[in-house]
Amino acid sequence: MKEFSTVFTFYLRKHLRSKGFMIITLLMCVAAVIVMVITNSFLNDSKKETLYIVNHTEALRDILDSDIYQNDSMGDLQLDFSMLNNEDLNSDLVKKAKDKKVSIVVFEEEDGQITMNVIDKGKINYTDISLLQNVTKQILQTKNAIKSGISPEVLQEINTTINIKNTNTSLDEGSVAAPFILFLVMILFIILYSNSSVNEIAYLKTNRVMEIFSTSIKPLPLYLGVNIATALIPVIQLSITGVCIWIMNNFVNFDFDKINSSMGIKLSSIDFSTLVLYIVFLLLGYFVYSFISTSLVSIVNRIEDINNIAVPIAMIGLIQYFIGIIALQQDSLILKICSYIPLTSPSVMFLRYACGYAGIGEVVVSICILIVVECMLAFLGAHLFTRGISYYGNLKEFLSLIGSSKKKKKNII
Amino acid sequence: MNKVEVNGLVKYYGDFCAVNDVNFSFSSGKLTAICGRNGSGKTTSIRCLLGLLKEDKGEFLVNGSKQELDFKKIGYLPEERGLFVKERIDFQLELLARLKGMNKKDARESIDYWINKFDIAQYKTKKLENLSKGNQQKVQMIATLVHNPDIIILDEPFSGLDPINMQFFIDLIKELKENGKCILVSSHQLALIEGICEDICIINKGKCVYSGSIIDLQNKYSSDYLYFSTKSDVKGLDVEEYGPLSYRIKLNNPDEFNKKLNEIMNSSIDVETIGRKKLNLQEIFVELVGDKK
Repeated sequence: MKEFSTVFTFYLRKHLRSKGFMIITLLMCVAAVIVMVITNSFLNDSKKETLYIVNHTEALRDILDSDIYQNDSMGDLQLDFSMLNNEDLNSDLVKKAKDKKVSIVVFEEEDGQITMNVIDKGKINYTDISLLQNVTKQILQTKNAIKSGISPEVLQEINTTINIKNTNTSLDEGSVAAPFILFLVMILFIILYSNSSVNEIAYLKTNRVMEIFSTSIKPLPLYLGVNIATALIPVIQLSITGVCIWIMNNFVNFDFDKINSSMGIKLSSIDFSTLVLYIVFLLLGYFVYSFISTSLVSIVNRIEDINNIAVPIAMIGLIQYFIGIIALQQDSLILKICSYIPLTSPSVMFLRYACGYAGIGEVVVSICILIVVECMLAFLGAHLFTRGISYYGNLKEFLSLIGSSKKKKKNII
Repeated sequence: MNKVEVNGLVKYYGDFCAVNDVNFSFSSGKLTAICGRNGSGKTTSIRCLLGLLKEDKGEFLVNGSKQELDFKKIGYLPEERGLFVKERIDFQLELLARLKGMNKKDARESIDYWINKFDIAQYKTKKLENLSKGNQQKVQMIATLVHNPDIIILDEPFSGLDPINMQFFIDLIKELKENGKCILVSSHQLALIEGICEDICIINKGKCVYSGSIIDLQNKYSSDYLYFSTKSDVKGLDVEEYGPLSYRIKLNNPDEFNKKLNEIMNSSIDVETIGRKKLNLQEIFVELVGDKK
């Protein structure tokens, strides 16, 4: 344990002091801040258009009132009644709208007919104007009906409205977006950091420090120390980025919820237990790829051979991405199978759980399979690592070396 | 007092026999060298001894009993240098010291002691890549000695050193020997080996050609020679030129020295230096393991 903690601490400090860690963490924080700033400014730009109401009619004198309209949504319009009783001529109002770059609607009455004269520079959406027209018409009709002696009950019967209720059986895109983003980040980190551990092993392979290590420490604590220290780096980076977002949300007056809803992301779909599962699956996923890559890389010698091993494993990692796209549509059989295969299960099972396809029971089974497989991979990896890391012959010789290590040699002089 | 014995070591790589029945020993208070051509099996023997490779046959005796070497008591300097080039020197030395069982305080004290002894205190917090090759070699040597090992195995300790640093390393190895350390040195620099080691094991094509003291080796494989140097013309004398202005005459029996000396004195040549000695280790080595045509 002491040996493990010594190696673990050394490698963790080594990673934390590396320029790569600092640059990637900084980039992640900067990217998060930039996305928040851009989205926030975009939201500010998409404020509701103010429409000044001017009344030149007698019929609407008691109707056009901010108190009456405040309960009605006018789409993207923000009604302003400060110019309600303005008696300027239309030409003066046009000039004013032009000078002050505002939109004005003037209610005018001519021969018993009420007209809405909209003065704007094309910023007003006419669906919203139509809405304003209908609401005003309805209020006017109600007022006239009551004046004609129709009882409120009869009036309510006449004005029966038909409401629209929509039940969407497909997945809510907003609920899927957050898990899918986390899913993509998980795949990226698994590939990136398992590759990082490959580089560490490749370095040990090409550097005789391993011979000193091998004469100082047992293989398993060394192997696990290198791999686990590397595993913590993405978790630390995600945490730092999370703190950065939290600071922006709490101290820089960014409306995080509004930003996320505007981007179609429902963060409410990610609760604490999902986050914990995310970290667990991220680590387990990393270990699968890391143990496989590092044990295989430790038995080859040339840099091109190292790439030949690392690249196909990374390609297998990318398969998870395509499986994740299927998850956006439906919970298919292939998705279920992949959520139990260790090479794909960490990310796919997380996505299935976060989308509501899989229950906690399935998650536990998947985690158990992963842990068992990873224990086996760790022991196998440590063995190959120890035997392979200080061997500099070709692979065929190495395999025969492993195979013949327990055989009694004949013809020994 | 420690003694390590390697008996009947055999190691195969697949069908290739890399080490075949090699025997040697090294003990406290004297220096033992292991020599051989490239690929002769020196490093494989050392790796088997260290447990980096599993031997196919043979036994290792530590102080007379069959047991594995205690890693914590071994200091090993690998043939090709191996440390983290982009890492601070003090951090990696502390890691290696702690892996050898030292606590943090003792490790730091030991690092300070050795860094000052090697006169590289100013580089303590620098990355290894910022140091010259000679200074990197010093750091590598500190990594070998930082935990005060009883058994020290040095694989090519003098490679890449300038004459001053080489002398420093020689003095250090002698000092370690006087402090009772059990030291095995693998090197191709036979002139150095001859100057500092008492015992030698010569390996050729995986087999042990000789194992024993260097003096016995010279007595066994070398005649006496009369050596002299002169700027004069040596025509007319039956001499062998073995270097610039340097000559030697093989003595077929011990009494022949005075006869040959008189011959030279009676000639007209102006002798600058003259002496009697055997072939050096380099020449005996070539004689023993060189390809005979």
